[in-house]
Amino acid sequence: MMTNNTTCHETNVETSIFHTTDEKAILSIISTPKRTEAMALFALEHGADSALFINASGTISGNLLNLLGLSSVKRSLAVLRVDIEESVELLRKIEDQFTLSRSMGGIAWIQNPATAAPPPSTEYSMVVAIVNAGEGRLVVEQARRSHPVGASILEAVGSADHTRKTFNFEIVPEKEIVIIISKTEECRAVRDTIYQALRTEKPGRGVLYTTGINAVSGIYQHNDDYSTFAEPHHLKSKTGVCEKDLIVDEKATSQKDLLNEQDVKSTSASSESPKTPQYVGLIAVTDRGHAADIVACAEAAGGRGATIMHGRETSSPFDSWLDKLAQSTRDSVIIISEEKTAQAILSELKANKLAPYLRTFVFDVRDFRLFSYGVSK
Amino acid sequence: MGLFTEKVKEVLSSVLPITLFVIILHFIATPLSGVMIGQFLIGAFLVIAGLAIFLVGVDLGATPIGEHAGERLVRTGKMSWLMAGGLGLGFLISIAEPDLQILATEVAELTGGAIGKFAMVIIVSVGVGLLVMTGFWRIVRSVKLRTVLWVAYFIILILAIFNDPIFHNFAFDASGATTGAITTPFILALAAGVSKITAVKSEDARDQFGLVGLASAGAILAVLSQGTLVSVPADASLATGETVAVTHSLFAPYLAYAIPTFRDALFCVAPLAIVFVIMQLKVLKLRRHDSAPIFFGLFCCWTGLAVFTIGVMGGFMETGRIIGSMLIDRGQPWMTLLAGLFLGMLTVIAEPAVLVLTESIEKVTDGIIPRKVVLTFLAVGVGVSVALAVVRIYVEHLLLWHILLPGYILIMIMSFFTPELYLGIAFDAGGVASGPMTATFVLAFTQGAARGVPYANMLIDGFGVIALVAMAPLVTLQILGIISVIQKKKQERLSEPSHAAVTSGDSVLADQTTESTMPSRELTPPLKQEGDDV
Repeated sequence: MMTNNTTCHETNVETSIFHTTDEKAILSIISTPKRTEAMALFALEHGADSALFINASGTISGNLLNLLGLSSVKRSLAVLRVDIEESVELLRKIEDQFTLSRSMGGIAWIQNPATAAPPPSTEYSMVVAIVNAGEGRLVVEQARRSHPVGASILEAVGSADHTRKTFNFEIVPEKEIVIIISKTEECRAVRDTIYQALRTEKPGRGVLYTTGINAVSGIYQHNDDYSTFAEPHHLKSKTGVCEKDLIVDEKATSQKDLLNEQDVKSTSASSESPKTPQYVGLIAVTDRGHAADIVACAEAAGGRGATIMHGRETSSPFDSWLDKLAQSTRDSVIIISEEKTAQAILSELKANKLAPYLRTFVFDVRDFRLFSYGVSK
Repeated sequence: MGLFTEKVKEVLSSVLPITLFVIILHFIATPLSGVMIGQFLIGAFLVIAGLAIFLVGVDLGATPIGEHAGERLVRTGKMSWLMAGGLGLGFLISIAEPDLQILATEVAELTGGAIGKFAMVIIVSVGVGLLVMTGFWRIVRSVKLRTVLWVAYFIILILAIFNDPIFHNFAFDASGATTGAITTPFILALAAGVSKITAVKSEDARDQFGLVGLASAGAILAVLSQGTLVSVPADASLATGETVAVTHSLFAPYLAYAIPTFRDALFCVAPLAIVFVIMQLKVLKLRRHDSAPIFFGLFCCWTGLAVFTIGVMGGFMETGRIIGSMLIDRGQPWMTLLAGLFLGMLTVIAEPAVLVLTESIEKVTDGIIPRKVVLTFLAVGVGVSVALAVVRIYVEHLLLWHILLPGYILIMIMSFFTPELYLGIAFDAGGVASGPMTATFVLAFTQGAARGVPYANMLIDGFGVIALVAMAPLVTLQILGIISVIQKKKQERLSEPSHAAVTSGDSVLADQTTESTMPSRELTPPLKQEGDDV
């Protein structure tokens, strides 16, 4: 899949927009709010250039707890921009400093931008499900049927239905984003379980995708011996049977699935080309209140939907309460679309300077699926 | 236990300070009897347990119900539904508030039946309903909170002039009573639900706050308009009814309070349960998986609130009164003053509604206004207020309005410089600061102190402290808002010009800023922006 991607970029001139000289990787951390903040500030001190904090919740497993709604615990997600070359070293530093490997200590991972070397690790992957508010717990529950994975839920909103206005405001559907990081083969099982459990005929249930990660630290192993990974696993893409199998398998499932989608989606541009479209994820960060502009731009360029999260951002490692009062909140918009569409959106955003304080990040998406196989809007 | 563990930690950090302070007072200034200190410690334990359960209940029950209700109402897209919903929910939640029933009984006695108990409860509830309705209206019509508050407080001022001073006390007490432990989270959640439609377009969470403040103003307005119509017997203020039964048994006070408290708490939670059941059957139709936590949450709200109240009534109230009168007896005014200051500071951070509000502030502002900062500003304000109340006990001719009038004038002037977000937070905090902890512990303390001073009137001075406590956050949290404006200006000056202009989220200027900075960005691309795009 990666190879395919790269060749595509080499041949296409327009793709140069994905290549800029100072691309950054993103380092994400999820832990308790206090620890996340401490880790993020530590990272800012050691070379990261900005940290975006987003409220999240973790989930403790347990049937009764889950039934009574007590399983949710407060977590915080920090997304930091770091230099690609320094990212893994920084992750290791954080791990040493904050003992990420201990139980419930938190998790941190690195994602490189779509085309940057090195390509993602094949050992670990991240499954992301964007579902309607309230269904995050269901996703986690289903995921844990296949493997006892850790999962975090982020609150978000989807893009508005522009045909209807209520009191002159557009109604945005509330969404939840579920993040699960685990071994690649576990991720596949988890993904399939979630997909089977949530697929529905009704439109607009949400999306599911898998994405590569370059390094991870703090995956808590649910084995009996409670062994943990003390080392960040930064793995160069291994050649050989293993990966090939993986790629073939990914393609097989995704193709089947997308064909399914294409049957009902006549407008989809992908139906013109014989090969399966490559999907990428685009994250655009802007000042709070301007996400709608980015979404509009994406829709004009042919993107189908977007998910918006609120957060606050800091770039100073000395984050006193006085500094916080002056900080601005940000909206981060996640758009999963075909590569071509993402390029169009990016150039549109860059050319028109639609949103203040714009920062973007593009990552590879494997196996993008909609939960709704019925008639989509 | 996930959520429960989190809440226990939170509650411990807010209730232990006041507990420790009382124990310290016991050793250095006001030696309490063994039974007394035992009762207090049991009370503190019940408060901690009850509050933790209650907060779990708020997260699982009251908040989702309020948010669903607000959201469903606004999504109808019909102003008539939204207005009717606001009026109805505000009325329902207020009429069920046991504190309001108690106050109405007192008022009926004090006015010699000139104001009937039933009439008072109804009128205050209508007042709350009307202002909740107004709050909904201003959110969907994008009317500034500042404007609505100005109008409301201007009417209050006019009415206050034509009212007997005793009604000023009733009015402020009614505002404290209607924004109780359950009401506050519910109204906060209603505001959150309704403001969801404006959330994507606005650059901060301003519309989520201010509704609690408006509801309190509604109660004040209702009492004052009622007061203009009724004349009060001249000797009204002298009829102080409350007698204190001192018990020498460790558990007796708790047993005495147990049954009525559980019953009252049930009344409190009932409207929420009714609203939820109706919504669940008619519109929500949540799966069992999603509705079970809400029912469990309602149960937690009920038991938690009851256990908490039993703890406060049985352990804190009596202790507060004894400490107050003991300090006065020692004849060292500075000591009473200092004790009042700390007692006020530490009591308000143990207030259930304050815990809910500060948590909500931290969450919806994405941590820009951290809970600890709000608590600190709130605590200082309330501490100073209680100290002022103590001063009033010692100084014979210092009337309540001598402090309130300049206070509110200051507040209204400050509101010109405070961002809308902070204005809403400040008025919400004003509504919640005078909750059950303050209304029992601090009130008992000042009343105990007033009893030892011959010319102090227990009733008047006691009520006064509630009004002062309700005013304090309006000043201190607006100061916080003004600090944020100054900080933003400072940061703008430090960072490069174009970047700074964009980061400015100052709500007073925000609408223009975003518009005007866009072209300039195109002309001068900021340094930091280069290569930011991947």
